[in-house]
Amino acid sequence: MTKNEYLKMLKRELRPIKRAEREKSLAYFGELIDDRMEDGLPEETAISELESVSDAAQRIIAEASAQGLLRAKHSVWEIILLVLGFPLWFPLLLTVAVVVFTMYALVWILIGTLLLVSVSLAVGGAAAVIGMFFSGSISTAFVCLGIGLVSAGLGVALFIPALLIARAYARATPIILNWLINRKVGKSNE
Amino acid sequence: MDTQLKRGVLEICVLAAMRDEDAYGYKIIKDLSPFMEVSESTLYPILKRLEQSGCVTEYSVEHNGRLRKYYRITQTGHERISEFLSDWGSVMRAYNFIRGDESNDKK
Repeated sequence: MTKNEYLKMLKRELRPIKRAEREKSLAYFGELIDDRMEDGLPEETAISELESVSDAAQRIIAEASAQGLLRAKHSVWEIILLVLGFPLWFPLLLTVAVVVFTMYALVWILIGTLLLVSVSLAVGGAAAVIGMFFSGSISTAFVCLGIGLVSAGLGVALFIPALLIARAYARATPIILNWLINRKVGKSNE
Repeated sequence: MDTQLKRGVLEICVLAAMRDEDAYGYKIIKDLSPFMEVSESTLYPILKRLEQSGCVTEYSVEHNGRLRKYYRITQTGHERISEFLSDWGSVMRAYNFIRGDESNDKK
């Protein structure tokens, strides 16, 4: 087990404790692991020599409970308020969700627009190059060729970054989602 | 060992571990290991209690790019050790009494 895995498991087990106290306990264990590793122990050994996550969590929770550092459970009044406040908090929550989704979708629309613009420039450029053969004079044909090449070049030059941005945003989507969920869970843990 | 007794003795041992110089969690566990087994989760609440009772103070020092928490014994902490040592005489008398009773029973 790695240090991160141990601390992650411990964090999960310490959920009944108030957030500030939980962070202090995690910092303490993180420091102990770092000190063991600095003493020359490999990460795996440093962790295996620690007590099990459940044993450690049990003791810390028992101590926190004795000191009144456990998270308060929802009282009956809070539940009643939550139910009665439904007509107020639900539309608000929905609005926030819609705004967040719109902001997310807006970025996709901008990326889509950029892609469309680049494709239009490339297609328009190609059409202008073909159009040169149907122009009446040589001078018009050269103008068509020039415009066509510039337009097609811009199209290709824009298409690649637009595609890269789209890929990066698609990859960032689960990270954004994760961040939003963690923020929400983190706040509700307070 | 009885939990209460062990806890009391452990607190004094932890204080004694930082008597000569300020100590951090892992150092305390290592220094005490030849005399007493202390787990990480046992030490943590002891340090907290000692701090709350004013026997130790804590401060953080940057060490190898991270923060390490050090504990320093206060005057109250030193007095607590002295009290424990002076009380120990009566505990030993009780201990000898208990031992004597047991050996009398066996006879």
